[in-house]
This record gives sequence, C-alpha cells and structure tokens, in this order.
Amino acid sequence: MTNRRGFTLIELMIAMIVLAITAGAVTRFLANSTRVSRAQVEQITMQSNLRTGSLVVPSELRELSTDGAASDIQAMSASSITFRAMRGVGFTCDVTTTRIKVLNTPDVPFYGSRDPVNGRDRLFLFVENNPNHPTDDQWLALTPTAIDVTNNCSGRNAIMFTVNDFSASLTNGIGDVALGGPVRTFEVMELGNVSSGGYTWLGARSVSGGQAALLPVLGPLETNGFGLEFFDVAGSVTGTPADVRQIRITLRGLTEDAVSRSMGDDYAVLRDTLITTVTLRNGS
Amino acid sequence: MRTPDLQSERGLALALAVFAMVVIGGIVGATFYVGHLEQQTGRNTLNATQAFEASEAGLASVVDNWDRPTYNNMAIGDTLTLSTVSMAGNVSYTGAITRLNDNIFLVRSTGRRTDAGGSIMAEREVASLTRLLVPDIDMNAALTLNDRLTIGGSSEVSGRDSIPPGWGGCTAGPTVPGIRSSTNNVVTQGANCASLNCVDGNPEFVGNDTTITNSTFTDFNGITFADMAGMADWTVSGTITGVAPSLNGVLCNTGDPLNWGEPYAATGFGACFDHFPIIYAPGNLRLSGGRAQGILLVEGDLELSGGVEFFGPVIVQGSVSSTGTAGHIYGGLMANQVNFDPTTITGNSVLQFSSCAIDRALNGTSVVQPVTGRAWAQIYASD
Repeated sequence: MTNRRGFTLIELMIAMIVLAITAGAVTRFLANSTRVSRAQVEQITMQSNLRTGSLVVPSELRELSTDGAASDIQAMSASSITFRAMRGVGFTCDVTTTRIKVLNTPDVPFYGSRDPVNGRDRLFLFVENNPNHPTDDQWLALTPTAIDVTNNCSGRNAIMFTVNDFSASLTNGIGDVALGGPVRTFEVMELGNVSSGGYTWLGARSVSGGQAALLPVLGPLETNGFGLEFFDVAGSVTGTPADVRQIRITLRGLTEDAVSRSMGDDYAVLRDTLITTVTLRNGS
Repeated sequence: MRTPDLQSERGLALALAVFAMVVIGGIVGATFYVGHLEQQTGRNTLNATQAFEASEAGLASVVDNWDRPTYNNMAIGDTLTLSTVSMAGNVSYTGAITRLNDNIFLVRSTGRRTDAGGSIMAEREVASLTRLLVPDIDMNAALTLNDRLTIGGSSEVSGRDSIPPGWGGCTAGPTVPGIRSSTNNVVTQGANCASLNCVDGNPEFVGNDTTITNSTFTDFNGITFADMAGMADWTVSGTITGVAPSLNGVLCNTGDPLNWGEPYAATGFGACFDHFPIIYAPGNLRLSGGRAQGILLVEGDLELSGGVEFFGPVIVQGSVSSTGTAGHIYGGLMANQVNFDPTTITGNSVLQFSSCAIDRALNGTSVVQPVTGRAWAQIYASD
C-alpha cells in the first residue's frame, strides 16, 4: 500500500485552482462574447428599424401635394404631421353627381396599395372644367358614403363610390368631369411620437379611419426621436403647409436594452440617428 | 513500485477545448450570419433605391421627349409600351403611355435592377398624370390684324371654313369673317379687291374690333407666344427656300430642319402627314416656295413669296408681306404689327380660313404637362 502512488492534497488543490481559473476565464470569455454578440444584434435591429423608417416615412410623404389652399398637409410641427396619404389611382368610367365608378380591369386597373375602404378612405375627383383651359382644372375632395369594390361598368369590373350630391361644386354641371379622368383615393394620416411600454415610438394613426390615438409602428426611439423640418422652394425653413417643398425626416433610435460592446461592464443604451430628406413630387 | 499508466489518465483539457471551440464557432458563425443578413438587407435597399431612381428617370424622359405625332394621335383607351432603356449598372426602365380621354394621359415608368444574369432584384413603378396643352388660339378670321392693311392684286381672303383636300376627321364650321382688324384702315389696290371684293366671309370685314389687343397675339389661354416659341422644334431666320417633307427610310425625317410636315397625304411623303412642327423665327423671316404645316411663329416681319403653302396658324408680331406669287395660307394668319408697318396682301396671295388645319396643327403641336396638383403617383401592383 505504501508503494502506491496517488495525488497529494496539495496536488489536488493546485489542480482544482488551475481548473477553476481556466473555467473562470473560459466562462468570462463566453459571457463577453455573448454580450458583444447581443450588443451587435441590438444595434443591427435598431439600425434596421431606422432604415425601415427612412424608407416608409418618405414613401408616405413623397406624394403630398402642396397646391395652395388645397395642400395635403393639414397640420405640421417639429414632431408630427397630419396629411392626406395617397392610397390609389383609378380612372372613371361613369360619373354622376352622386356616384363615381372607377374601372378595375386587367387593362385599366385601379392601382392601389389596397382596395378602398369605406369610412377610412376618401377620394379626389379630377374636374377638367373647360377642356381647353388647363388653368381651371381642379381636384374635388369627396367623402364616400359607400364603396362597392365588386361593381361594374357596362360589364367591366369597377369600384363604385357613392357620394353626397356634389353638383354645387361644379361650375357647368357634370359635363365638367371628363370620363376616363383620374380619381385618387387617400386616407388622412398622422405620424408622430408616441409613448408605450416605457419607450418612445414612431406612431401612426388613421385620422379618417377614426383611430383615436397614435399606435407604435417603429422604434424604440429617443424621446421626440421622430423629428421633421419643412423647407420651401428656396430651401428656407417654412411653417406654412402650402409652401412646403421638402421635408427633412430625422429618426433618433436607441436599443431596447442597455448593452455592452466591450469586455467590461460598461452597459449603456446604444443610439443612432438617420436623417433623410424627401422632395414632394406634387409640390406646386 | 508501479509505474502509472499515462495512457489511462483522464483529464478535462480536451473536453474543455472542444466545448470552447464549439461555442466560439457557434458565436462566430452567428456573427457571420447576422453580418451577412445585414449586408443583404443593405444590398436590397440599394437595389430598391436604384430601381426607384430608374423609374423616376424613365418618367421624366418619356414626358420630356414626348413624341407628339405618335402619342397625340393615340386613340382613347390605347396603351403604348415603349422600348426598355438600359442604363449603367444593370438598371433599366420601361415606359408606357395610356390615353385616358381627349386630354389626359397616364404615363407609367417601371424601373428595374437586375443581376448579371438578368434576374430582377428589385422593381418599382411610378406614374404621372399628364394633360395635353392645346394652345387656344382664338383665330376666328382668315386674317386678324392690329393695324393697317393693303390688299390687292389677285389675292383671295376667305373666311369660309374649308377642309384641306385629303384631310379626314374634320367637319367644316360656320363661316367666319374674312378679315378682323382693330382699325378700319384698309387700302385696296386694283379692281379685283375694290370694295374688298376679293374678301369673302361672314362678314367680309370687321373693323375697329375692340376685342383685338396686343394680348390677342401673345396670350393664348394661358399659353403665351413666348411659351410656344420655347416649344419650337426649329428656330429659323433669314430666307428659307423650298421647305418640303423628307423621309428617313420609310419614316418621316423629323430631324430635317427643312421638313415641316406633309400637308398632302396622297403624296409619297404620307409618313410626314402627322408631323406638325412649331417653327419660330426670333427676327424677320422670308419664306419662298415649298409646302409645310404646323405653327409658324415670327417675332419680326414675315415675307411670303414663291407660292409657299402653309397649313396651320401663322402668328406674326410684326407685319406680313405676301406679294408676287406670294404665299398660300390654309388656317389663319394673325399679324400684331408692333412696328406699325402695314400688312400687305397682294399678288396671288391666298388666305383661306380652315378650322381643320388650325385644330390639327394645334393638336399635333400640343405638348403635355403634369396635371395640376396631384400628377405624380406611386404605382402598386394591381390585384
């Protein structure tokens, strides 16, 4: 028995200490790697959010018309905007003063992001008036009282908008509206900052659809992380909706949680900013 | 003493190393994956942006290079898909034009970003509602003047609405005055034109017409003389002899500065029958011989000779002199005479009112502009 070799207590303790140090180092390395990886994912998510916002918001605003008193911008501030968001384009095949039929066939489709929805969508009817006078053309805003997306126009698929009698808005009667002319559907939308779950988000609501409050659609953002600046044709800042020709959109994002990108314990919320400018295509 | 069997000794080093390598490999792999995903997202965004920009470029190109003879004569409801135009970097656009009614067109442009193999990476479509700008030239007389007139010789001035031979799709309107003038200052020469016998119309002559002012000759329903001059296909000066249609193969050679269309459809130049250029002379112009159609705008004086034939409206800010074998105008002639020189219509001059010639020329020369307010539209794929 005395000849048998074994580990002494000291050997075992040394081995355990070495093992503990090694395991500790490996654990710490793994924990740091996970932390850095998570920080990267959070940052990527935030940047992806900002990038999406920089595409979606300009897409909503690009079609705005700022044609004098009929400007599509109904209210604007440094942190919110209420506007007519275009949702579709169609072409009339039958018009009376109480209903408008718009073709929706393969050769003449209704071009829309979705079918028009009653109570949510409204429409602009193009009124040519004197066909030889481009200066008297106008878009007549109408609120449908009913929308039938399965109607027809002499056997061709059509969408029928029932509206209140608008004859009083016509100078010479229904002949002022040339058949085949365009109709645009729109929804009154509001974009702004909204707080939810302890964070600030880019919020949206359909004003014409009756939504009472902004709903979070993108974020989280810094407090007032959605910012707007409005510029006129000369590039000067303007507060007049009819003068707006460009809108600068600022999105200041942050990560949902505090993260650390280093081997230390310096946890912090990451921040990033994306600024984009959209030129209004229908600015007069 | 027993020697320990080193082969049988167990340890944790290998297991730990393998575990660590697996975990680290996993993290590295995940990082690569996330990075690749991010890169792909960025690339998709770039592709979408390029496609969108291409569609915008296509839209501007189609509207700016409006092919008047072709597009203005499209039937209502017709759609014309244009050839795809390739740009650098696998980007292209395809334009399409649909005539919606008499005045309104839908111009669409689809931008695409493809890979090297031609597969579509991103596609965007935008559109513009455009309307024809037809100058509303209030030409309700064969000859409209803002000052003195000398008329004589074998000249003929007629306000009877006539349709040029071979021109279809027109109906003659009521007879209009032969001459309308802001003054009564007319001098006749020779027996043919004594007592304005060479003038026909309802009535033959309207003098002291207070509706004729300078703006009658410069402002045409919101489109000014300068606007139309700015749309001119050709700017000319001096003496031009023998304007005549020409072909490039079987097509009308619209690049020929002396090809101002073909008013006679039955000739071998029928391809130019729908070619109606706007001709602008910033100074004086002398036209001698040949045949032409369109809109002729002269900032200075106009001299017609050699039997030159012109179909369409002629608007002159100075005075007009048509003498000798003179000129034949089918449509209408307006002279503002800002230089107070008399307009002289003598020799074998023919001024024949033709609403058909005027309308066809106006339609053929009409340009388009986006409709007011909400012309630009983002097009979504239909269901």
